[in-house]
Amino acid sequence: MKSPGLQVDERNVAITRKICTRLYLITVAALWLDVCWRQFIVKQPLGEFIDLAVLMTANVILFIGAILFYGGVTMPRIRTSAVAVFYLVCIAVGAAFTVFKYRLSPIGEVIERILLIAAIAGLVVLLYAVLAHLGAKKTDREAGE
Amino acid sequence: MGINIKLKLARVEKGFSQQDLADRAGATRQTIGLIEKGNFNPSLSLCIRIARALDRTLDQLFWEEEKSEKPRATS
Repeated sequence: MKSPGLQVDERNVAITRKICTRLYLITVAALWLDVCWRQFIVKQPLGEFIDLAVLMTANVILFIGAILFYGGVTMPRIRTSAVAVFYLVCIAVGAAFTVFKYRLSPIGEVIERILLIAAIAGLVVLLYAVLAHLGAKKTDREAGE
Repeated sequence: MGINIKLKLARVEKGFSQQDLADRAGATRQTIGLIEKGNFNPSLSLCIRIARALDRTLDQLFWEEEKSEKPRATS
């Protein structure tokens, strides 16, 4: 007997997930472009779009953290060299962006900013390493290993 | 993945329409049609539900012999 209402099976769920993933990535990219547009083209004060930037940043950090914790990417062992490279890339990109954005000239100011970026990037990398480690342990426990 | 003629034959032999099989296996008619056409790769649990609905084994419905593969020993 046919059931009334919507019929959903694994194919529908798979298609819906694929669409959600693609639309999520498009939305994040659009938000990032919007923030850049406001900042560099329209030159709006930061206060007028800080909510957008914070939401987008928190969302992406949580997204990557959830992928690491729930095993979207399996990391059997965290290699220190890979973490160090990721950390240095975070600092380099953050420093370049900040210097370009604020057009900092005195070297003391630049170093101060880079130290701040290094501390924030360090916290994020540490959070990711802990989440990946806990996620791997959780998956092993579920698999009965 | 090619057309799954074995699934279609088993369904027709059983006298089921795609909708009948879909209802028994907990899927949609479109999904059954796509599996028969070889355009959707079902999960193992759906394969088992389809096999049970048709009173067949997974091998009978979904196993594809490779051309170079020797026939498997039967007990």
